[in-house]
Amino acid sequence: MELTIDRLTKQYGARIAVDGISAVLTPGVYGLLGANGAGKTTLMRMLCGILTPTAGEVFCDGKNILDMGMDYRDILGYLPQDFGYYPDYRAWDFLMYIAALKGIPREMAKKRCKSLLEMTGLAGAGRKKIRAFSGGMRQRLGIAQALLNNPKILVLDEPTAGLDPKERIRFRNLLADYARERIVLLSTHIVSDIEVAADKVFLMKKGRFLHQGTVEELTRQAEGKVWELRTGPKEAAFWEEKASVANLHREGEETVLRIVAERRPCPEAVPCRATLEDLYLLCFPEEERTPLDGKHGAAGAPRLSDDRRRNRWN
Amino acid sequence: MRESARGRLRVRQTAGGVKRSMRKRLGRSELRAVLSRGPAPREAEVARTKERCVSLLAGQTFEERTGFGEFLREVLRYSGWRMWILQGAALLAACMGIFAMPGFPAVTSAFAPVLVLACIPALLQGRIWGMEEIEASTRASGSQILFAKLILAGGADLVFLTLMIFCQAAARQSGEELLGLVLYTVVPFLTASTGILRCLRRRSAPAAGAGLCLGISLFWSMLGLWIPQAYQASATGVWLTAFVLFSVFFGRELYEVVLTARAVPA
Repeated sequence: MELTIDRLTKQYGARIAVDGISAVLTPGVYGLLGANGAGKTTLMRMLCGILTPTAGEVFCDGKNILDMGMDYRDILGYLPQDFGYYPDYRAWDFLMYIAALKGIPREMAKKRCKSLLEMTGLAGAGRKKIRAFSGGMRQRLGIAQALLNNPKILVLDEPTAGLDPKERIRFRNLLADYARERIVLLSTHIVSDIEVAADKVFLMKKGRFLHQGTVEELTRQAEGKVWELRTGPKEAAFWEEKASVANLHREGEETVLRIVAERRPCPEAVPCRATLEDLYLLCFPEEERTPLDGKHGAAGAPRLSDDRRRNRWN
Repeated sequence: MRESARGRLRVRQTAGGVKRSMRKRLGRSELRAVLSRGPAPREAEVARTKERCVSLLAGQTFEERTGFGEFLREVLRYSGWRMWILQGAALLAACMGIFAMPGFPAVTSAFAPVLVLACIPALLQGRIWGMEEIEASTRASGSQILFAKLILAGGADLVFLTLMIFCQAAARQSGEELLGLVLYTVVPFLTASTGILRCLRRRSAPAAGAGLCLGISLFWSMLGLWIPQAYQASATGVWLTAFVLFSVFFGRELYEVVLTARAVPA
């Protein structure tokens, strides 16, 4: 099983949402990481054949997926980022309805729905109306419907959104069992999910793949660019504004900052081991530069000691 | 015979040679134990065999899929029956109107678009409730689901329109103008249907579709009130022309809408 993406492009007027992306996917778990507006959802929709590309093609085992039509959708499972539900439906009805759309015979559908409800921890909620579900329960129901037809290609757009840590672990375990002989593509903002689950990661920005590789390969690119700085609370506020701060926590009187920067931010900063999240922040620094309130604007930045001011960006 | 004997002799000699060499290393009882136990399983080989079997099984699809007939029944089960109930209610309203105003020739013209209006909630269900993407990615896809709903709606419409025409004929107690009655009912129905299919294709809001149906209904009512000559036998040619034209438009829109329903726009 091989999914080949060949120079896939989607353009809306003057705006290019996906810009000539190419990749070859073989069985395994692929993570798609990127900020909002990077083009992840557009790419996933084109891979599912529900959005017509402006240019480029997607091939499944050498055949164009648009030509394959029903045969491709037969082996596809898709969980959109935002999905609705018919309000009068119970969870069971919803799954049986999707099973009918997927062409699964009724008797087989009943067994499949029952086992999927158990697998996603919704066994006791099958007869409840979906409108009474929490966000996490709805998300789990969405994952269940994507698995109904035992798909060979599973495309999940933000599957862990709304799931609590326990549910996310359960989902990762489910994915690990499932992905052995299947292609699983999942997009998320939760970097830790991809770090644990993905065999290969695509980092996407402005419609293109910035980086691609295993988690280790990607993390290596951030080595030497992650620093730990211990400082006081006032200076911490200054660094939050000036630098890309991945993490901030208090240890007694000190504030410990984890800064992502190409160069050492100040002599007191010590290098530390990089993670995938650090690479994300390096590639999307503007995402972390949220404007502070007026108290900590540039004019009101706390004064550094003379030595620190002199050696600030060495 | 000589060769086979030679062959047997060779084998016996070889076996004897093996046995003699084995006897040097193993005792007779040990040898007997090895021969009776059989070869020990090789773990690496077993693991590789298991992996290949899993791979083979994963590559095969044993699952059957339903045909279009069964799919149609499922669509009826989940959303089609609601549509039929609404269409039935529209028919009931039409029949009440027909018997309340037996002399008004445009009564079926006014109610025929209401039959179309009754189908809108079912046809736009996926879009209204945000289920389009999931439905589009299934085997059925958006176009097949819509096609199935249109078949169910069309089947019911055929029956209900026939009933409307017969009610009108019964109310008038005359079968002479049957062609006229058919045209006065079917042409507004085709107008409204073409309009709704165009709204579906252009992804107009549900309210726009509903407004269109009500507008068409109002138009034909006003036509009957203001230009009653349009409902006389002398105007049959115009109605026939309109029937042919709107049939062509309807067919074209039907084809286009089912084709475009395959993909979900951005």
